[in-house]
Order: sequence, then C-alpha cells, then structure tokens
Amino acid sequence: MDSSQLLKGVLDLAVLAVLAERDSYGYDVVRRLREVGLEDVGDASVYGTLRRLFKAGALTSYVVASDEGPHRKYYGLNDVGRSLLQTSAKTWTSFAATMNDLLKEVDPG
Amino acid sequence: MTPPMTPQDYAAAVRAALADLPARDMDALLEDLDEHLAEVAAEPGMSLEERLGGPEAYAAELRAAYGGRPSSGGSSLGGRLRERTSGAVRRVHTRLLVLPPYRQAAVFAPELRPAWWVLRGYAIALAVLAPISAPGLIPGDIPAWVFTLAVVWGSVWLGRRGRARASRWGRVLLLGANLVAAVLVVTAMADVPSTSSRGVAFDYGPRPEVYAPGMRVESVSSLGGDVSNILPYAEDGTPLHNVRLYDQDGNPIMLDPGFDQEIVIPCDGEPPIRNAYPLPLKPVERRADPTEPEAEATCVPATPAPTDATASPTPSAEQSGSPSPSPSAEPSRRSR
Repeated sequence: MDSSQLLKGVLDLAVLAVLAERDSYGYDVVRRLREVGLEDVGDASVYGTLRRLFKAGALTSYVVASDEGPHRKYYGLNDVGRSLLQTSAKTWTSFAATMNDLLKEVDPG
Repeated sequence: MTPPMTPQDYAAAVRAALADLPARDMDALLEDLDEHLAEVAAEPGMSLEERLGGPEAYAAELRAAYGGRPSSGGSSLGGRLRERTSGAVRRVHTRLLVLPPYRQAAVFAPELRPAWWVLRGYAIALAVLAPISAPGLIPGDIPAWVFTLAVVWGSVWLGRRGRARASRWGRVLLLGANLVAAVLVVTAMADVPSTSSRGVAFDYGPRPEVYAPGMRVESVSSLGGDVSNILPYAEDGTPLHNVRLYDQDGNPIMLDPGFDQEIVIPCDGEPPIRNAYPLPLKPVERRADPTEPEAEATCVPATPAPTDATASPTPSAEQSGSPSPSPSAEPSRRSR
C-alpha cells in the first residue's frame, strides 16, 4: 500500500496540526510536513488543502511583507480550525488505536 | 532534451490547466503560485518539473486537494440551502471575531455548556409541571423534585453524549428542545423582576388603614443619603406624631426602613400603620438562628408607641443601608 494514499485521508489533520504549532505560509507548511517525516506530501496538495480549509472558515490569513523575498501569505488557526483539529485528532486517535489493535498479531517481517 | 521550464512558463501551464474553474476559485487557488514556484526554483539541485512533476499533474493535485466542486445540481436543494445558511452564519461569526468581547465569549461559551444542560432540563421540567403544581420557580413537592432531577439528569446525559451520535430526527428534536428551553428561561427571567418587586412591598398583616394599592417610596433621598424615616415638626418646633402621608392619588406613602432598622411591631396591638410618621423603628437585632421566623422576634410587648414622645428615632446616614427585600419577600411570596 502506497503511503501517499493514506496521506490523502489525513492531510487536513496534518496541516491543521502544523499550523497549531505556529502560523506558516504555504511552502513553509510543505517543508515542515516533510521534516516530520511525511516525505510524500505534494506541494500542490498542501496548497490546495490550505485554500480549502481557509475557504471553509477554519483558517485566518494575513500577508507578511518581507524585504528580500516575495510577500508571503501566512495561515493560522482560528477557533473553528482549533475545534476542527480537536475533533479530527480524536477521530484519528481512535481509528489508529483500532488499526493497531487489529494488526497486533501481524508480523510485519 | 528540453530546457527546464522557467517559473513563468510553469505557472502559465498550471493556469491553463485550471482555466475551467470559476474565476473566484482560480484566483484563490493560484494566489501565491508565482511565489511558490520562485521559492522552489531557487532551491539548488532540481528543476521545477523534477521537483513538482509536470504542470498538469500539479494542477490536478491542486484541484483534488481543493476539493474541486462537485458538478452543480448534484446536491439537493435542502443541502445547498443549509450550506448557504451555515456559510452566512460562519461569515458573520468570523467577522464578529474581530471584536475582543465576542472573541472572549466565543472561547468561553463552550465551558458554559454543562451549565446550560442543567438549566435546560430544569426549565423543561418546570414547564411540564406548571399545569399540575403550584406556579413558581422551584418544584413544589417531593415528586416534583424527583421529576425535575430526572429531567435534568436526562438533559445532561444527552448533552454529554454529543450531537454527533444523534440521528437526523434526534438532532431536530434536540434543537427544538433547546429552543423551547431558551424561550422558557428568557421569559422566566423577564418575569422575575416584576414578581420580586411586588414581593418587596410590606403588604401583609391586618392593616385596615392602608389603601390598596399602597404606594411605596423606592428611593427618597436627602442630603444625608437615603431617607428611611420622616420626622414631622409643627411650625413652632414641636415634634408631630402619627402624621399620615399620602401621595396625590391618595395612596399611602411608605418608606423602606432600610437594611439596618425594622419597624417595631407590638405583640398584642394593631400592627403599626405604615404611612404614619415618624415610623417606630429599631435597629435590627441579628439573630443567631436566621431560620427563626422574623415576626416573632420583631414583635415587642405593647409599648404605646404613638404616645411615647421620646420614641422618635433619629435616622442617620450610616443607617441607610441599601434597600433589602429580606424582611418581606418571604411572607408576600407565600401569600401570592
């Protein structure tokens, strides 16, 4: 099973979790997700997810001017985003526990 | 081998691949595409295409992650209406979040949820009991209490179970119950001030001289503060007693003796006339047992108060405590 298939289902949660740590702009979110080990994450997927979450009212955004580089659009969680993160995290935790339970006897070799 | 694409070429290709999207969505999606591509291109080692895949693949990924839009007409009218309503509510909510008080309330509100569950159950239980028991804001007897506690328990249980598990009809029912409870609570709150202000009036006991409706002076004040008694004097300086005061409509004018003083009630005579001045006042004796009935403690063996010329108390600024409903709220509530 390709882990990118799994990632699709939890990318929202991963992006919310990264933003809960601190506000970020698009490419920074991509880099931080890769840093924690989600190597397969696609740039466009992250950008699309950010836009969708923003459109759904879960994120705030603001533009930060920078002297040397381009102006960057930062995203952060608002109250909707925080509660979304909370419920999604709960769902994920119980789902992961169920899967771990199921796979207890399986030897991954 | 073709030369690597420049960020401009790549961006143009992505835009072309998304050209079928509505302009608004496209703008939102591609807002910082140029910045992103510039940043990726600035990283050494790999070309844009090696790093991101082809522009078509990039566009497809972007579209998929954005959720695209299911071809319009796919969702039901009710669903679209609901979406639009919740969208409007969310927009208002987001806009209001700019105001600090609203933001604080929004953060604080979820913590009050359990209190609402209790209040909701209580209100609904009282509303159900209202036709069969004495009206009031507390259940009248033990069965009523048991019923009320059971409903409160049910309400809290429902609240703790969470909305997510309820079926669609369950959710509609719950919403209805919440609305009913909210209306009940608001009407009860609107009703309370009127009943309690009625209760404050000292209007019990046999008082043939008092004309109904008794007029009560809520806040008469002089230079020294609130007035708790009136000391009438004749022109030549003799203190007058038993002077009855009435307003322009013939209603007796009554004063609130204040928190620290009470009217002396003789044990065996007529109760004092409430608009006969000066009032026979004495300082309130603090009893050790506050549950002791007040009337017994305040009554004094017959002293001919009206004829006792020296009994006129001197009101002072210190004695004018805030008006308190305590002396009379109990008996008049009982008489309601």
